[in-house]
Amino acid sequence: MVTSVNSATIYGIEACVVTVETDISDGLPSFDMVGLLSSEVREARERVRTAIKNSGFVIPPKRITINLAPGDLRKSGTYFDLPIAVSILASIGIIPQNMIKDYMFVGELGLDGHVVRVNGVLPIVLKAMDEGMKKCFVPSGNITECSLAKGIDIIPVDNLNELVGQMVSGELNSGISVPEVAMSYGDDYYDFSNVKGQVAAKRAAEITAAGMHNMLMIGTPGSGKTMIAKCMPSIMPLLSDEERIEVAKIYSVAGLNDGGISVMRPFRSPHHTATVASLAGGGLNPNPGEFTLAHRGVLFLDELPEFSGRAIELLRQPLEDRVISISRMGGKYVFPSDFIFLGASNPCKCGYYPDRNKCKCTEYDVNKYMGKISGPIMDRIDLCVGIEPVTYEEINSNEKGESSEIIRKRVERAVCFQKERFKDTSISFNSQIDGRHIEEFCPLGKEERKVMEYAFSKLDLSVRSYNKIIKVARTIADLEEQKDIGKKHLIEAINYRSRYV
Amino acid sequence: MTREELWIWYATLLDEPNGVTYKTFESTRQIKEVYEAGIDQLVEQYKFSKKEAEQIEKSKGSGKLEICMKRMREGEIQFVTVEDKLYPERLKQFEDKPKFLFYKGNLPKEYLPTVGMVGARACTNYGRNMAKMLGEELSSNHIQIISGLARGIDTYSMIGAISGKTPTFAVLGSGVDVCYPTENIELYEEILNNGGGIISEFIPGSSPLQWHFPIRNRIISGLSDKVAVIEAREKSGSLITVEYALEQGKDVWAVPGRVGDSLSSGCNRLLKCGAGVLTSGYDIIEEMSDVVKDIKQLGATKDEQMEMMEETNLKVYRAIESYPQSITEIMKKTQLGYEKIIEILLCLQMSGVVEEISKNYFVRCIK
Repeated sequence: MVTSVNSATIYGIEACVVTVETDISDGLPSFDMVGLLSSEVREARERVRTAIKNSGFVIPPKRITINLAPGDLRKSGTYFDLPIAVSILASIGIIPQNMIKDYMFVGELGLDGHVVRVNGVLPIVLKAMDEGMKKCFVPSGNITECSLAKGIDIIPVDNLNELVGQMVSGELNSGISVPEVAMSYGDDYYDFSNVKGQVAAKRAAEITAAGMHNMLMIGTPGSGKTMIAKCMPSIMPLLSDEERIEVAKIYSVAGLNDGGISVMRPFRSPHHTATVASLAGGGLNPNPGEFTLAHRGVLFLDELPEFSGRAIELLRQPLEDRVISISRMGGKYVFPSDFIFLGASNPCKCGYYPDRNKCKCTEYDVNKYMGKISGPIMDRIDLCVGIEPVTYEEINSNEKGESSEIIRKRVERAVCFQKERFKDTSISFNSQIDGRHIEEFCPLGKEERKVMEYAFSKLDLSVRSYNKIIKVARTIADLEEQKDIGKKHLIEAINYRSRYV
Repeated sequence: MTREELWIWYATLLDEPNGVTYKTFESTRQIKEVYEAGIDQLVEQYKFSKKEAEQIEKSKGSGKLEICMKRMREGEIQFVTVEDKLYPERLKQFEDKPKFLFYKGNLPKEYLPTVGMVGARACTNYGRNMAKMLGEELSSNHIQIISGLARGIDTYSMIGAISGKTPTFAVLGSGVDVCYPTENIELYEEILNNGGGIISEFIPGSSPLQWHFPIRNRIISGLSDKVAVIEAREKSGSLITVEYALEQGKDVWAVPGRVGDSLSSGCNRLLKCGAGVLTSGYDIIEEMSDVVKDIKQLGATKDEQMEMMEETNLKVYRAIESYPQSITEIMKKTQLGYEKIIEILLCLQMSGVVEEISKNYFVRCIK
């Protein structure tokens, strides 16, 4: 008789249900597994056999065939050890058949039968919920991240023996409620009240956060670019429940969910030696890369021109489509990557241009350095802002700037203001308005048109940068909760244009 | 009484024939207190003499105020007090500054340089030509000429200034609606038509009394960045202006004349004492070259501009130097807010006089 047990695997960042079928029949003793398995799944055979033996059960010397369905889906990962073991124990009658129906099992087994944590449990649990399963057995090491899944019984499993004991007696750990994870708000130090001076940069950061724009900061070494970038999450609207789940799923798959689930938006700052695969996501079964880990948050590339040219060009797709797609032999994976892109750069190689007392770079050197950020990438950056070194008086002044919380309140109001405008559309932020909709959402008055006409001819604007200026002006007006874009909004927006395009 | 009425009443006191001692009241509150005080209080508290106190008391119902107000309305005369924002910055620093000014037309622009031109009423042909030439040269280089509208040098300086196109300003020793000498009425009109102004601290309608002129001279020198003397005798009224100018710390320039010419003896003496030798308008322009150059640069592109010649624009432009300045530095220098600064910077960039050399770093364009 065939026993089937539900399990799941991860494809991209989504879970797919996999059924583990076990058949035990007479014949030469063997233990075979089929179903398009990767090597770590095939190795499960040895782990499962030893774990069952070490838990005190005997596998009969029969012909055991295990199939992981559907057969055309490539299975990878170590999710299947526990379901395979449960399925074998059920087919030899140790676990009652009625105890496995409508349940889902995931987990890796150690040789002594203990259950090891795996990555990607949250999407699996959510999938189980969608599929209408009643209970989900997960490694106890994964229990914290499951707190976001409400409406399904999550049962932590420590080892195989204990699980069998519970199933035989029918007294499952079902009463265990998953502990609510403490909300983390991030590090207090990274608050705008601790940023001294930097009026222009703070203002630009606020606009960036409110309209989900992209920003490039140019400044001398040690002027505070990194500090400002790190403060960014503190002024962005908190994650909504939906977004929290989205983010937690990604972190679950990447195995990074240790620190609890934050309501703050993620902040990723890969080093400039990062490879293409680590940024975009990679591996035979692609894991999320930095672009995806920054989803709904901030991707900060410090020393942007120092990144390899290929790495910088990779930004094109996420900045345009807000997803990144990776094609592999096994299929095409689409990872979400909707983030605020923050770049930081020195103005030249030595970092001090245009201070000619310190900078010895020639005009050619300066242009070459900034030229590493290609035109198409520059073209996708909405705000470009210069960061100036903090002066001695500013360091020593005890004056605290506005706290991030106050700024965040303003940003949240601006976000609401945008939501109102974009209801019934697929747009949620000003940065997402495309060329077709500029006229509709950002109409300009006669006076404002004149300013733009003048700027267009005098400042050599491209059509894309023209549109960008209007979008940024729209956000500035939203921060003031103004229905119409005014002249001063446009002027400020023009001031943030990137001048290397 | 309204604030303006109080001040104008105060102005009428100055015009009393016997000359009420000129007490320095600088605020509406003080004037109100004086207005409301009785004779005894005026004597005891404000240290007026008995006679003065009686005069003040009498002035309250004299109707002079009403006549003055009427003349102001009819003559489109404006009034500014030390308390007002419009009051010329150049005068503010002086101890004996006029506490109020009547004016027709405009007051001198703060951001344009000024040169006071004074000299003899009975001038020579040489003086006349020099005054005209200097007036025109300075005026065509955006310098505002301040003078007195008297006969002789004053008149010719202003005729020159009008052909130089920059507004010019006359400070009178009579009310602003009294043209003295009367033959200068055409010049008086032209000054106003040219965007300039007629200024006086005496109430409208007041006559050109002798004692008015010396105190009027302190306003001429006060409003001027530099004072030029074209022709003056050894003992001349023009030299009063020079004295005021030196007291106020202004540069004095003098046009040299022949030794022995009595009309040049005053000038030559000034030169001996170290005054600047003025042989051409460019001597002064050279000295003011920074300011004049800046204005020219901004002014040159004016036609294509929205409103370039705004005071604050020039302030920002002057803060930007030929080595790159960051926005913060410009903000510190000009004391303007971020929003205003970026608006002006954009305006300056569009007109091609300023360039953003690196993000947020600005530098002047060299044409």
